[in-house]
Amino acid sequence: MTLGTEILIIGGGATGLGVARDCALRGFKTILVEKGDLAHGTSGRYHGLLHSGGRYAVRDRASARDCIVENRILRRTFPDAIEDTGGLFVVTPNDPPEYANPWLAACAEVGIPVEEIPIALALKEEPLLNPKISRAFRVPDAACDSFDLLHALAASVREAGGEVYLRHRVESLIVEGGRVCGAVTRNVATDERLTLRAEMVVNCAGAWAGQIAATAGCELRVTPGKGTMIAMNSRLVNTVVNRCHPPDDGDILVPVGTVSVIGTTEVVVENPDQYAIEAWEVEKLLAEGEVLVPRFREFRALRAWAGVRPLFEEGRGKKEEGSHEGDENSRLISRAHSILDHETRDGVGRLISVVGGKLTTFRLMAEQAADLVCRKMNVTRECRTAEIPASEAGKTYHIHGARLGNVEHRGDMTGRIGEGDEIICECELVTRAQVEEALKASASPVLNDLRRDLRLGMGPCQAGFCAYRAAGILNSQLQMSNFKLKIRNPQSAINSALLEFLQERWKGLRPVMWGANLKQLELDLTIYRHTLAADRLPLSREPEEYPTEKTA
Amino acid sequence: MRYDVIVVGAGLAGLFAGSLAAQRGAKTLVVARGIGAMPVGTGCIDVLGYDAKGERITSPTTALPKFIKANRKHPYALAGLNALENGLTALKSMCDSAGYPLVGDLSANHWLPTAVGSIRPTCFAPESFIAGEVRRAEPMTLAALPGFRDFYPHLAMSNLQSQITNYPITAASLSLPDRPTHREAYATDLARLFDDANYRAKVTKAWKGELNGAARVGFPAILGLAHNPAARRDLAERLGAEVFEIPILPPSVPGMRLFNVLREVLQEAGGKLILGPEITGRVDGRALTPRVLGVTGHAAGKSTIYEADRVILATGGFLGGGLISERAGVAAESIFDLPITYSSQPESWFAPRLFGAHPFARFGVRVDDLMRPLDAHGEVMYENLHAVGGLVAGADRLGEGSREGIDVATAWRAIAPAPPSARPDDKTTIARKRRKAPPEESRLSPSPDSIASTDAETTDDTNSIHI
Repeated sequence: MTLGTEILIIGGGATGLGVARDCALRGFKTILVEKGDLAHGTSGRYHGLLHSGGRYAVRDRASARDCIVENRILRRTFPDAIEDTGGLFVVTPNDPPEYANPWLAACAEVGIPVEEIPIALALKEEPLLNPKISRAFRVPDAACDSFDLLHALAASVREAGGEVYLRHRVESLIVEGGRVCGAVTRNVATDERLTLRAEMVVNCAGAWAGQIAATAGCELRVTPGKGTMIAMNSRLVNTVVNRCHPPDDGDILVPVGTVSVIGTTEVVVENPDQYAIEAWEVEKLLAEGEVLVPRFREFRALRAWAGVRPLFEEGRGKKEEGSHEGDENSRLISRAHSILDHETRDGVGRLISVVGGKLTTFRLMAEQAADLVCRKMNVTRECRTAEIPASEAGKTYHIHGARLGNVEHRGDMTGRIGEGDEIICECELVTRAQVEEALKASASPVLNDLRRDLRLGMGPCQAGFCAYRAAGILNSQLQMSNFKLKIRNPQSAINSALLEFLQERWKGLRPVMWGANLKQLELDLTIYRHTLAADRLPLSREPEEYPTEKTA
Repeated sequence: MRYDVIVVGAGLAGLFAGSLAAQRGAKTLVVARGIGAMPVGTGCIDVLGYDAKGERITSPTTALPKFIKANRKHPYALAGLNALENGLTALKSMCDSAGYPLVGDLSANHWLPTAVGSIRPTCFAPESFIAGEVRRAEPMTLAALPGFRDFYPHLAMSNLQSQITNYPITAASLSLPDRPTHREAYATDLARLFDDANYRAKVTKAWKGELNGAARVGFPAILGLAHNPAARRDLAERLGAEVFEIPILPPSVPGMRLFNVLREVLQEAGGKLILGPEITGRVDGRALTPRVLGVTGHAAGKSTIYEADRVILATGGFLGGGLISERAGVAAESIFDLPITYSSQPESWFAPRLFGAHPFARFGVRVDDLMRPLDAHGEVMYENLHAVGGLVAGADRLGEGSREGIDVATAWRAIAPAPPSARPDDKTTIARKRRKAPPEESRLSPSPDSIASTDAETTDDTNSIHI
């Protein structure tokens, strides 16, 4: 099948959706394709910190300035995805005390409001914080749920008339007469080919952008910089806490939903689809956690995961695999973004790549990319994303605990739980109706997508109880043909969805497998292997991992 | 307080060992922190479900000798097949006497359906499971209970049907009145409803039309907690169909039934059960031959000393709390700090796939043929201490399908034969006996020398002993 559009955007992360929203709001006919689910790549493997810019103030003023401007815009336009936790920069005994004053000066220069607060107040607000901190500064950091943000972005793209095709993998760009005029995609659920012809293609594939550009003969060296994070099973802090020192491994602690995330490491990897979380990374993050919160390791680590940053500097060759810290630090590669016009760069027309950058500044990157699109298309249309809020509905910040409130007030005045109100995931308070709704809206029978939609299976039992229930509900939905798509082999699809969901959870658990997690593993194996014999389901295909883990 | 036998742990291995000891006239205490792992599981006794290739086993009797030969450090090899057989006979008779018979024979596994629609081999099952045998060519109807979130029969139905071609499998929707509606209904809520004859009479009236002439009807395992056999018979009679249960997510009602049965047997035989205290071990450090003195229970702000001639550790693996891992790559035994076999390389504890062969599953306490913990040199550590069940090293209980069989065999071996030489007074005799004249059933157990050496045949040869 062939479809036509004005602008084709490749990549369903924050950048791609941001560009799609911007283009759609400027009135372009817009289609976005994503090979997996929304937030399948780096945006969904993010620590959840909406930067104030303080982190970059000393080394990279331009990035810091972008951060504080965008921070304010996002608070206005996507408040629903943001929890206004505020942020602290603290000087611990492990940080060079002489860093604070130049940092303060830099923040002042770029316009980040910083307020030094008494240690006693910082400790009163955050009682688990290291009592030996010597200074504490309040900054307007916040927590951002990237799953919520990306869903809101996608909804906004559709509202503005754009389209988002998930699970469409780009096989190659179509190049005719020295210009790109679309892409050939394959629906990974149905195996159908879809050709999308476009006036202009914007490559927002992040760490995979080089692969896309290569299909049009453009060499684009994006360095995949792996960052590992650990979610701790409680909100150890209610404020984002940063170490006041030059950016390094494990120096931010972000409260996100029911957990807090310590991040990150930074390791250059060869392949954005193949990397392992290494034992030293887990150890390093826990050790740095101890500096912020004494006895950090005694709390339960829930899971570890990694995202691959698309690091890019024009003219810079590819980094050696495994390099981190030391001589040529990949942290020194700018976090700033680049908008590349392949016409001037490589002589390939109508193709733009957006690389580098960070989630906090996605909107700005999108604006600049869409500006370039306008120039290339010879039109003048104003960017409106800084003013137009995502939706009328989400006009308030996300409030932690609101979900509990919803569940506590289920049912009617009789206090009875109605049909569909049963809780399917106790850890994250997800109801059956929500699961059914999400599956109905979904384009494919993938339980892992429910995790990103609803936080299903993200709590302490890591899907031990909800995976079976969700598979049962998925089965009923498929039988009732509530699905948009015709699935080739529904039984195989359901069984594979269950096994892939469990395997995906296992991948995140394996690096932090001690203490209570080990008990939990034996419990989950007793359920799925012993009681259900799920490892012996018929017709299931070997779970496909994404990204795949290296096997030793 | 002084006992002949103290058992630590109230899972299957612990309660069975305690019941055996009490039935043999020993003054017995079973003390445990919690209620054990029986409420998590199937309530069946798996002896050997899968062979080395992962194929379902038809007959444990046929498969076991070969299995033991290939796994010389396996708890079955150490305890011996006699212990397994005798233990199973004793457990069956306990369940019979409590009016909750287990049906089965070592010579043939049942193949029963699971709640996702896989087929699970098990050796002994409650009567209420038996009609689910998948090799019986008879139509099967699965009960869908709307509003109950822990059973999805349509999923089981289609998966079973894709493996079974000689009879139809269907599902029928049956309403469940009177369940709690101000919160989610758990399996235990429903099981208590089915204990009541009036409730059964009421629901079956409504169900008969839905089932129209079904030959056998499968329910999630919720058919009665206290009165399961009566509930099953009654339902079968009222529905005019055979009725069977399929185990589901925890809490496992059949597991709780088995717990209740064994608790009753223990207490009727004069044994005592204390649940709740945190337990630490007591060792006589001054004695010439090292012995354990008993345990201390810590609860409600005070500590109580329990002394015993013999202590049986039935504290389980990581789930039960017998093994603990406080950080990556470190494992320890929780009560007596016994040496355990494990790898100090955290990467080598786990398989890349969730359902892979996890090396950690085989970690545990290495024991001799009387289930006494061994030190790094293969010597018995305390002559009056035994380790049984999931705490014992050398088995992948879930992968093999041997979870409960190991509990039964090792508990029997620790308690039952107790030959005069195993009495805790002459260590040299025992050691000599073990070296020079191994008893028939322990011939396959390793000699103290071979324990330290690696043995390509065994599956746990990569583990080293850490103290």
